[in-house]
Amino acid sequence: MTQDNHHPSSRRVLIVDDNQDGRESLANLLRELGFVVTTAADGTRALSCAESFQPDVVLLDILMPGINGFQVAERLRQHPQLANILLISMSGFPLETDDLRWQRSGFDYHLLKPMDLYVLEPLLRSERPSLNKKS
Amino acid sequence: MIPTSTSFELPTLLELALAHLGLALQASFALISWREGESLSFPYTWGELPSEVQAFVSRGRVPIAESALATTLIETSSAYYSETSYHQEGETRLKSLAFMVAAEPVKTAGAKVIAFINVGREPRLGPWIESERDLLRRSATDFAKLVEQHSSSKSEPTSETRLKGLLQVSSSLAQALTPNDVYETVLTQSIRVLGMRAGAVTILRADNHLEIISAQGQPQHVIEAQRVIELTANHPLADTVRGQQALYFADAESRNRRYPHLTSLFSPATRSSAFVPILSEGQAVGVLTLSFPKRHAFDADERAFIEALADVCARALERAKTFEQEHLAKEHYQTLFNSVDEGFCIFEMLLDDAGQAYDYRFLEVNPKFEEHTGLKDAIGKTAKELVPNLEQHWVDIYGTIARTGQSIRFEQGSAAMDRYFEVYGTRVGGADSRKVALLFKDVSEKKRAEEALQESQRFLATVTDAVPNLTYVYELETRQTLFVNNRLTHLFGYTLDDIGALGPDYFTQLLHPEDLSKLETWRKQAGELADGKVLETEYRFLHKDTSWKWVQAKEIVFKRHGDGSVWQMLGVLEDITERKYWSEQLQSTNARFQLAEEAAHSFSYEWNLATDVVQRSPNLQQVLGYAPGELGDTWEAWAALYHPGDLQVRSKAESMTFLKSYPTDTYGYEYRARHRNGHYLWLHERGLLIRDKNGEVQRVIGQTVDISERKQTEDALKEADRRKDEFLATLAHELRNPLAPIRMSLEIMNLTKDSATQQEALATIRRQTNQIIRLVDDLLDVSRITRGKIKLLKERVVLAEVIEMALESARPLIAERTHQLVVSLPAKQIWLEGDKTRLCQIFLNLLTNAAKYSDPGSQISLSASQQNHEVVVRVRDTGIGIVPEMLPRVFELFARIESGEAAQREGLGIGLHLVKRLVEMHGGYIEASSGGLGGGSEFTVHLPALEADLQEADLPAEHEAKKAKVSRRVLVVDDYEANLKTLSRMLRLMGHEVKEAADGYKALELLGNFTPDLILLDINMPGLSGYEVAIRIRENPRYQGITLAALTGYGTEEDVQRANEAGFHQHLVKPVNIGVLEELLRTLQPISSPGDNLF
Repeated sequence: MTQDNHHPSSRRVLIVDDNQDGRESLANLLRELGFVVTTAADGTRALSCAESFQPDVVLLDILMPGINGFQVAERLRQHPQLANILLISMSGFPLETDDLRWQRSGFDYHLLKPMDLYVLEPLLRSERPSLNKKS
Repeated sequence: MIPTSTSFELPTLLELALAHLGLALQASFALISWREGESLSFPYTWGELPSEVQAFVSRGRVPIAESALATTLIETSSAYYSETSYHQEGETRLKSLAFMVAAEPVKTAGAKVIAFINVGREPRLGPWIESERDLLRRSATDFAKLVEQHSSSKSEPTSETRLKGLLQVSSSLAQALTPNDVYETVLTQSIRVLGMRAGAVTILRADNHLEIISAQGQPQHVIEAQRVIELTANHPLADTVRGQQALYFADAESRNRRYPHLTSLFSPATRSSAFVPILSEGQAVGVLTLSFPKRHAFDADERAFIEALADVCARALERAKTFEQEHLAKEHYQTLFNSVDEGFCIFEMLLDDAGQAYDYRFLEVNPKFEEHTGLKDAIGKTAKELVPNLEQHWVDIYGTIARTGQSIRFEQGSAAMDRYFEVYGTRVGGADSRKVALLFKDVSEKKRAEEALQESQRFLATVTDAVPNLTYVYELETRQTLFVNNRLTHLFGYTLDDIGALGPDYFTQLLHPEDLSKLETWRKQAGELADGKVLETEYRFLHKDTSWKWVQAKEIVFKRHGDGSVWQMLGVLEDITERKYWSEQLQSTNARFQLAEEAAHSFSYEWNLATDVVQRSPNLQQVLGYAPGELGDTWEAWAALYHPGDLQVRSKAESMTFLKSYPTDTYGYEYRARHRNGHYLWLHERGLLIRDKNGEVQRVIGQTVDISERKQTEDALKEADRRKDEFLATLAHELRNPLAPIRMSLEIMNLTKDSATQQEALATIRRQTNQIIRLVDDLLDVSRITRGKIKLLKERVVLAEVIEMALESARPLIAERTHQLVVSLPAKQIWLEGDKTRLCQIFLNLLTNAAKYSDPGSQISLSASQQNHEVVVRVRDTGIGIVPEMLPRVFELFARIESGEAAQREGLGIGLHLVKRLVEMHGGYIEASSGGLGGGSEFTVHLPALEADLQEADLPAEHEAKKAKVSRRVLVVDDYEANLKTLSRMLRLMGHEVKEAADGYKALELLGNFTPDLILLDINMPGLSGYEVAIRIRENPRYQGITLAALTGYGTEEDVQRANEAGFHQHLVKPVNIGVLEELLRTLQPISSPGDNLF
């Protein structure tokens, strides 16, 4: 993992956020770090983008107009090719320990904005924890 | 009766004298007791002897010793006159006689008592008077002379026939009871005895006429011719009366010579005649006329005889007259005597030797006497014989009547007789009389009734005086109080005299003016009051001490008139002043409690554990809707109201046990109870446990308060608290969102050397920092507005300019979200007065909201118009809309538009609140409407417009200040190094000369060789604070030209004021807005050395 940090990887990341500055700044940073990044401004675009882009990781903002983060996550998990990708939620709200909605949606991690790069980067390079456990 | 033992002549004379005496003294009988040695004989009697006397006389000779009277008379040689009926102690045969008796001794020249003349008459004729005594005395002397003459010298022979005739006349006359009897007897006997032809009796009438009232032997026409003649007539009858001398005519010739004019009148048969006056008390009252058929010379004896005859006639006449009068009087008297209902009696007082009355003997009683006294056969008996223990006072008072002759009327009771009498007593007879007549009535019944009445009245008075209430009888028509007990004084202080002085309408005078109106009502009610009903009235009455007394009158009908209408009322009056006072106190206290309970929305209760009765105050109805008595007073009735979710409803037994073992004396808890209407109320109950001396709880008393409102407030507070927590979370979220790109951009700048990428990152940071600042500004604004700390910088503003400013700021967001914006402004300029920045803020917020809560590509419209004096600006969108229940709350602080999806919840919920407050500060108002969820929203702002003339006034000059680049000298003082460096770098980049100081001391030190135009001074520093540094700088005249600007994190009014006081010119809130800073530096006056600011 540490190695990956220093050598840009071809890991594909989809960023979904309705806030343009939030979306673009994160995308630019990850590109600087060597990720293959694409962005979507809402849930609908995120789903179509995910199909074509085939990301390894999806960073999903939760509060969005239209289809929100939870709904996007649920659909991704139901998608045959995308069911096992790494799903990370990001929000200004901390995650409540008993947030069933979040748990049911199939997220793997939750990050509190503003994200710490030293936390974010290793996560983006990691495998799905539940998948690891299963395999 | 016929004398036997003496010679014929003397006895005849004596008999004649005795008859004469008897008639003169109106005696019933008379007799002579002849003393012969030691015995008495009774040769002459006259009249009818009483049986007792007759028994004596018939014995012929009686020893003197047997008669106490005779013995005494002989011994004393004096007369005896009994005052009343005869009574003599010590007499063997004759003790008493129902006649009054007189006895006169007949004495010889040698004073030897040879006989007694005894006379008896009826007591009612009165006591012997002096003239009678004198007559008797003289008669005794005459008797003595007659006896002496008869024995010493031979008396002239008298015709035995004549004497016998005279005696017969006299004896017959004793039986004649009427004057007519007397005349007829005299005429008949005279004619027979004297051998006369005719006779007549003429009397003198009161009218001085003479009337022949009786005649015999005369032809009728002769009598009729001279029946009545005048006293003055020349007539032998008149002459006889006038002359009081007898006229004798021996023959008709001598008479005719004297009265020639009467010759024809006289009867030719009459030859001789005698006219003899009848003399009574020396006055001629009539004439006795005697006529003889032949010539007759009247010799002296004959004349004496005839005149004696006339005298006897006169006496008899007098006696008869008296008798007739008496008879008449007696008849009246008897009638009266027998017919009166009262008792009547005459009795004679019995005196002892000292002249003191000791008893009395009844002489006469009427038929009613027995009825009134209960005494039988009283006549002849003494009072004490009849009533042995008779009270002495009776004797005393009658003795007084007898002695003084004073009539006395009195009432007296006799215990001995067990009777009560009403008596009128008067003496009968003269001063010597001891007889008393009584007219009396047995009034025992009346007296007993009176006494019973008095007793009952006294009893009533005693009883009514004893009762504490005033008792009275009132007469309705006359409006008078007929009776009142002594409580009048006790209750009101008035005496009966006081009341009397006030006059008949005293009642209305003393009645309280406010109670006067009750009087007529009372009158009506009293008039219609049924028997057995009590009329109660309460009113105030003036006490004598001028205080008002409350009284209660209870009255019943006492008497009714014959027609059934009310006549009198019986009343009892009670002083209820004190009761009234306490009742009023109690009422006001109760009223206070009642009001207090109403005000507190509470009720009180008391649970008696012993009786298991729960009482609640009436205000229960206000709180829980149950009217008094409706709920029931049991524990169960109350327990049924508990909300099942609140209290663990125990059984009553458990509840009692729980209370009994309750550790303290007060308890309190909150619970819900069901209102009568079905909804639940929150109640707070606090109670006091009342224990007996053993510590056992007896009663529970407490207050139950409706705290539903408080509960609602509490809920609202909880909600507010929840909303605050939510807000803080949202705030964190809202702050984190812009912080995220800032952080990412910083990382980018850290990683890349590529200038374009860096520039892009910087732009992102600037945008997001502004976003955060706007957010924080909004928060500060809300805080300041809420606390009233914000001030509007009002000026005349053109509406279009303000709207243009807002549109300019909102356009990026609108463009980003691809909304379509339609703006409609009127052609005419609209002016209003306000703070340009704040007005801009209002419309910007509304536009931002519209953009934010609408799906991309929606239409947003803004229109403005002037309606009368109002500026109306509408901002409408076709966005998510507002649910109806949310509409009233959209302007509340921290309220956010919830659409049910957590994901849609965004924003702090302060924007609309801020808008509303700002609009209101401008004197306007804002409205929200919506077509519901998904139906879009419309916000309408109403603001006061300026008047037209003001609008036309000159426009404020646009200060298009030239934005020339000016380099300033700036000293930045901040203990926080990051701030210090950032700010300094920024100023240098802007082309200014900058010095840095990390604290106050360094700053002051620097000033020694660096005189800045502006000092940016952080307030909150360790060591010297910004204020202290400012004060020191201001104290030094060298630094007067320096502009001081404070840097604070708060920007509150207090901060600004304190900064001004410390000498700051400007006040900047961190983080410093570069635009503001540029403006400040541009407008600084060149105050340092004039040449220094030139490049």
